[in-house]
Amino acid sequence: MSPSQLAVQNLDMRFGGLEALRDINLSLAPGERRAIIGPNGAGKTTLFNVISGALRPSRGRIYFSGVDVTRLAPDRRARLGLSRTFQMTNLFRTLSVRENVFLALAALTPRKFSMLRPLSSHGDIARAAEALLSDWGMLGLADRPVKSLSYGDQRQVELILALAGRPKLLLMDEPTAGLSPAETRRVVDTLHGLDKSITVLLIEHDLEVAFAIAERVTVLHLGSVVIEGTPAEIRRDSRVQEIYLGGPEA
Amino acid sequence: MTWIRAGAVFLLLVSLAVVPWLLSPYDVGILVQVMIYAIFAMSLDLLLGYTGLPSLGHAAYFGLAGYAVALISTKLWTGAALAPLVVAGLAVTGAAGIFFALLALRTHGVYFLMITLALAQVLWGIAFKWRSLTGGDDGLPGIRRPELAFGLSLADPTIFYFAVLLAFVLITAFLHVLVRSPFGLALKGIRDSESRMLALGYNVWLHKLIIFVLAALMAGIAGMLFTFYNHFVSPSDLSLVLSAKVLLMVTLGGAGTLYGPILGAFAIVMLENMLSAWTERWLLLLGLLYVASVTWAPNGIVGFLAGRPGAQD
Repeated sequence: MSPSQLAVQNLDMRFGGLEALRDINLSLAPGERRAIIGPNGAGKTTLFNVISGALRPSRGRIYFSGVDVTRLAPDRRARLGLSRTFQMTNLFRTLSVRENVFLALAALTPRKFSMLRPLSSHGDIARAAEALLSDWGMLGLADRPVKSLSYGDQRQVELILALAGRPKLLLMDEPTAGLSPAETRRVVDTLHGLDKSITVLLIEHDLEVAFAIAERVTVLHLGSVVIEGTPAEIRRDSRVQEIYLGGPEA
Repeated sequence: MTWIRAGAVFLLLVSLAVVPWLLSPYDVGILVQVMIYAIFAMSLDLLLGYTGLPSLGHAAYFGLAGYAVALISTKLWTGAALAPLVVAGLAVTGAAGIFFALLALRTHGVYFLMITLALAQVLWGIAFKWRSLTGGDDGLPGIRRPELAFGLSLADPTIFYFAVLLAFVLITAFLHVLVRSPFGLALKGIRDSESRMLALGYNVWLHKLIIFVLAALMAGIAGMLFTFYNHFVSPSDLSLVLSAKVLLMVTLGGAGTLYGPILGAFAIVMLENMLSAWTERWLLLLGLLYVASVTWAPNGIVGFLAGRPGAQD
């Protein structure tokens, strides 16, 4: 068995008296596409925040590429190759699309501390940003401030930033939330076209999107893992139907 | 466009260079104040406008550097040359900047504002109460401007003017490059979204620490120049009023723009001089000006002139 790209072991997350996550175990093989589904309040985003380092768990361990990252700061995890998108669009709103991408690319080099030469003299990063925007068909918007972009284009920039650093693991928090069917299609196609070596962990409310992208699905409910399986197994499972459609007692 | 800009900057520099022979000594003095306050305001803008760190205690570094050179040149080493005084002043300010940053950077938003205010008030309290060292609210008078090489001395008003002009031009040029550098872009990134910067792999805390200390050092340079200019330092150079005044200069001129704080410093120093001629209550008028500027020109003079909300340099 190959070592896992991401392993979460016996993870608890408590906020005072509230137990947001209880004894979570998760293991993703390199290149795996995994979706996490579950109703509102299941703890999906909390789990993402613990994996990415924004929150420190109350108990349990997180291994990334076999390294224990449980106590590492989020920026250290990012430099190890752990990338994420946010549920609410989280970009540099006053900066141009080009500057947003420049920041994502410069993050990987020591030149992010360079203060004595203007951006324009860092030609290699500027060219890489240009190439990336061209690949994504966003060159026409490159010099617009991000806040002036449509919501769909902003989600696209979010994805470009997350992928700019060639991560090993991509955490995506509801990438299709609020998108039109056509834009959702575009995101699904993008994820299908993604480099197969990138491991993807995805939170998704739209079950059809989750089942279309993921090879395996984990169902979270009230802070615990209910079941893990292939999309076909999840579809058939009576507990999942109960959670989503309401049990007999509901 | 670049040529027009370069020409304008050149013309401005030439006119600043001939000013001592055209204006009265009083007006030259006003101009010196404008440039010193401009350095001070630009240093605060690095925190407030570029990094989104609202410091309400920036006078701490201005006054601390002033007290450092005052105490050294009056009590420890009378007749000290400029270089050792400046090095000592910057060392003290830098050390305080690091120490205060370690405390203040644990907080965000309004808590950051409160802790920077509190730290500055501690220094103000020490300067006010420790009479044997600082002279209390009488301050430390009789500070001599240091001698330079070749028989030149900062005591000569013209030489002093050019020393301030040189500091102002060098610092402005440095900041012009800094805000356009990858580091400057990272600061704007932190201002817009700290969590996104962390997720991209930036050590946000370290970037903040660097800019906090850099801003403290720049404020220290302004404070030393101001102390030499007045031959005097007092608790008012550490006061909340001064911290608020420099904050007003930044917001009035345009936070997050390089030239806004220069305009703001110019406007406030001019107003203060005109208004204080016929009223004791110019602080009240400054307060009204602040209300007016955040109501009708929330992006400052620069934003107002550029005519677009959220204009950024």
